[in-house]
Amino acid sequence: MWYYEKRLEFPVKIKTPDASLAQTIITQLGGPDGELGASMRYLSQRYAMPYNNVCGVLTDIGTEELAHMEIVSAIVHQLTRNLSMKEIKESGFDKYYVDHTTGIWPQSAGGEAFTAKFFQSTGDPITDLTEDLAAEQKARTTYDNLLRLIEDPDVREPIKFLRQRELVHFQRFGESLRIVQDHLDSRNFYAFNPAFDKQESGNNMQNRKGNCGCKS
Amino acid sequence: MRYQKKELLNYINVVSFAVVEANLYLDTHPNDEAAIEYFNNYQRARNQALREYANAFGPLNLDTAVINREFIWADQSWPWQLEG
Amino acid sequence: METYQRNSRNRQSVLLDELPLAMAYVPMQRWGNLYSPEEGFQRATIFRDLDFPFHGKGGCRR
Repeated sequence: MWYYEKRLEFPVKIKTPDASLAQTIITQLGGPDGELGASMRYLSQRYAMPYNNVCGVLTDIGTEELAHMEIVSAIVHQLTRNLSMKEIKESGFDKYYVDHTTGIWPQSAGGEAFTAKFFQSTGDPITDLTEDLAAEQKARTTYDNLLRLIEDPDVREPIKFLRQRELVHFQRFGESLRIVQDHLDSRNFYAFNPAFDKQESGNNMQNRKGNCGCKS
Repeated sequence: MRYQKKELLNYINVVSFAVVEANLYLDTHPNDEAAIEYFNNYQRARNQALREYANAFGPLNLDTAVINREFIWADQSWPWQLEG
Repeated sequence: METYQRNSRNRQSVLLDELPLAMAYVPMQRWGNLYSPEEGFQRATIFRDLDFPFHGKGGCRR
């Protein structure tokens, strides 16, 4: 279950509002490669994961992504305070404001609503972890793109933090995939889905009745 | 030694982060003795600091929330709010 | 052809080009080379080996 601690994983203290910047940063909340999608992806995938250590990785990283979601939301919240109607109109933030005022709502920079279509949970450990490796790189690229846009050091600091975390997560998912490989027969990692197919004793495919013709 | 709210909160952030990093590492290296020692060390520091903070400034989580007169958990400022 | 289980929990290095094809492999990290907790927090990782800052400037003025 989840448990809340009343602090941000990394502090957000932005002195200068900027509605136009908020409009792009919100993509790391509700966009295709944002923190909400990352969290839901990992937390969803853990149920089918047959290896406890990897469930641990998915749970712990999925939980950290919720904390990152909170940081992005705090950034958008602080960037959109004390706005004049003139600033709202001229920044292009008026399109978001009309539906949400300065509330927080998960969407991409382009205005696409958050959707489960942004992630997959395939129920196959190798596929899911490979998706997770890609997801962390996509998030990293989005943060790279944001860093080119942002000059304000108050905003750069939490964004740099979030970007670096994606690389650490990538490493952990890579290690998780190695752990999954260790549980399978390296002569054919794809002989069956360990989350779904019945296995014969151990990983020894030779025990199957009737040689399936797999390479040996 | 750590009396200022901001300073203590920063300390909690730092040691908690060490715990998180060690935790993720241990998920994939569960028998690594150096990592285990590191985790335990910073976990102790974190728990101690959370209790100190709760006593001086109010709880950051429910584990350290002991209600004396008023339930101040929700009433104090939230982490995305700027002070002042 | 010889086949054997490569155990990522053994501390033996493996040659990448001898690993089975059509699979992704990330090296297992080893503990060590740590920042202080304060610096690790600022850099967003306690591990020097995982610290990869961004320097891209794109079309920005510099």
